[in-house]
Amino acid sequence: MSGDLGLGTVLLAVLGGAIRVSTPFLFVSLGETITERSGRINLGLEGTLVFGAMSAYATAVLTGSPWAGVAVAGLAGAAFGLLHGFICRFPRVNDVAIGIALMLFGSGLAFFLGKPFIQPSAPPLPAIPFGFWSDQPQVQAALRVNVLFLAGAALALFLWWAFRNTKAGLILRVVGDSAEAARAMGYDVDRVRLLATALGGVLAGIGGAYLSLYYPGSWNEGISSGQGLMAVALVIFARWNPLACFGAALLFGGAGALGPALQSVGISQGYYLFYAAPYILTLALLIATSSPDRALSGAPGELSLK
Amino acid sequence: MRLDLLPRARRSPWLDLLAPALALLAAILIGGIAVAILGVAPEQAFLTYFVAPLSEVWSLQEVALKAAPLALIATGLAFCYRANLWNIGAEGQYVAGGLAGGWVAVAAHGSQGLTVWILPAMLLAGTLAGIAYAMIPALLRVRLGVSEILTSLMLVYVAQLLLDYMVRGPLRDPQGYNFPQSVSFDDAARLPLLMEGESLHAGVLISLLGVGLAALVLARTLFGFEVRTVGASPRAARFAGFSDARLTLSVFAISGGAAGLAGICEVAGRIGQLQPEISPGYGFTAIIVAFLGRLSPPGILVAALVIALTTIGGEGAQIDLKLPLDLTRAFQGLLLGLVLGADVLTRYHVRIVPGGARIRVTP
Repeated sequence: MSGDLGLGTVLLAVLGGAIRVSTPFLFVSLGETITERSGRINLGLEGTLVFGAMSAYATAVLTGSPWAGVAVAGLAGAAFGLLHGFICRFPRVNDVAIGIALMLFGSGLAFFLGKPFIQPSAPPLPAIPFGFWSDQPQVQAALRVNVLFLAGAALALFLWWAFRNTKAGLILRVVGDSAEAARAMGYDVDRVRLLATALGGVLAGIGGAYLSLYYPGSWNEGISSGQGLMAVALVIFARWNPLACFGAALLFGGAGALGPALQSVGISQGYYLFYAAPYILTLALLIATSSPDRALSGAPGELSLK
Repeated sequence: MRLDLLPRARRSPWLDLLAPALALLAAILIGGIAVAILGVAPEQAFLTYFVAPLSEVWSLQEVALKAAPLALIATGLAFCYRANLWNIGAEGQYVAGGLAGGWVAVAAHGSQGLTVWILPAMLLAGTLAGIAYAMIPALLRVRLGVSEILTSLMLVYVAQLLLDYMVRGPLRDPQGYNFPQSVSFDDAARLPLLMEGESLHAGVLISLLGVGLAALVLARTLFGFEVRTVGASPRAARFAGFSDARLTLSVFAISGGAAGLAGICEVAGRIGQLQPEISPGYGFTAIIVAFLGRLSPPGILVAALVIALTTIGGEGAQIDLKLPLDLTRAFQGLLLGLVLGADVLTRYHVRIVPGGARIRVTP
């Protein structure tokens, strides 16, 4: 294989991988953006993601409909979000610690309930072949875009618009920037945060459904390796901006696709070091976007993560 | 129905003990309902989970061997969490410790003559590697203001992949038929057994020593006072002139060192070689243990034993009652959530007011 073709294949595989791998990042980070904009941080989304993956897969196996799976995953995510929001409304309960508890609880519960569904196969979510114009199978494979990816992209655009132009968006931001001010204006801070966390859970659950119903497209216990938490880092990197979340999710997806892409063109030595690429990238981005004076621009004022 | 929360004038020490006990009881009740739904008699499940592991010598040893790393890691983490710093990457520091210490053992493999230095060198290397690995998130936080939650967690995956690479590459046993594992350590590189023919090894004593030392430091030294002050009131600590940066580095060093030591103790104790998996998630479970033990060393010791008990019991339940092992994990997460929730009880009087529809907090 010539060098040029190898590089082209890798780039194409990374692009296709970016689109494939980024969708869960996109959904979790959009959900976490909503939650964090309300002034709370939910680290439990990792658990929600895994539970969403399990419940979607199980539902799809039992009903034969992947969309029913997506709906159930969203509902399950809402339940986890409500639980987090409910516990955190008690005074002096630390949202970070509760998030860690829910992360462990969610994945433990998912592994436990999901045992019978490791074997059977579920109907996958449909994809749209945008690569129909090309006769190269690699191009066609890279441009098979899942519907959820498009929905996520549209959602990012909508949220970006809604945060600045709708009443709900403004209330959310007031609550996140200053609970005192929101209270003075007569808003129920706890209720807004409860809803924001629940909504974040819904999106994380749907992100999980994508994992099990499209890519990698099966249910097993290693289905998420920290994607839910990397998405939280991604939100900081994206400065709580939904459009930037979209770009960052693509970047993370591309980094995640690097290892498998190198492996697929026959690089047999050291390719697994590139499996660490997403994590190293997360670290590098966190460092690059940090500021020594601790004042993250655009950060919601009430956020405990600083 | 409305819940009114009235702050207590002072915290009662009894309630501090009672709240986690109540949380444990509630978790057991919920767990009982769960196993009943699965068609197993709850009382039998209770016996298998909580009583059977205490009834035999080998399973008692297993409980101690599981509790030892948990207690050691959680005690280190308690320093961090008390100072309001979130090191959730103890698993990575554990792996770094196990890898570095194991490397020493592999390098010294087959050495003749004086071999007494090998084990101390391994323990030292493991501890130092854990400290060094914890310094990455600590320095990033102090120098650049990067959130330590995310960096410490990302480094877990990096450490696991590094270990995986090392046992498949440079540290692989050349005579190992290509299995991803190192040579089996020499006897001089293993922690001695406490009783001949049994499984209990000296790592348990190291862990006990570490927890005792930490209790002393926390209660009796200026440094311990500093940690407690920062946790209780960051403002007061700043007025007292305690340095934020130095404290951050110190507590991360303590938690990283403890995790690294636990890692090498496991590798030099039970496992006896390097392999891709050297931890069944001790670093993450230790987070539960730390909070379950109310961030105090004696409490952590008890919590580690409870968690180890349920884990060993869970293994028994898997064999005897066909209950999946993951039930145990869900149970442990549930327990942590309840314990954190029970904090409300220790700080507030709860009054149920019929008719209202929400929680009201009287400031």
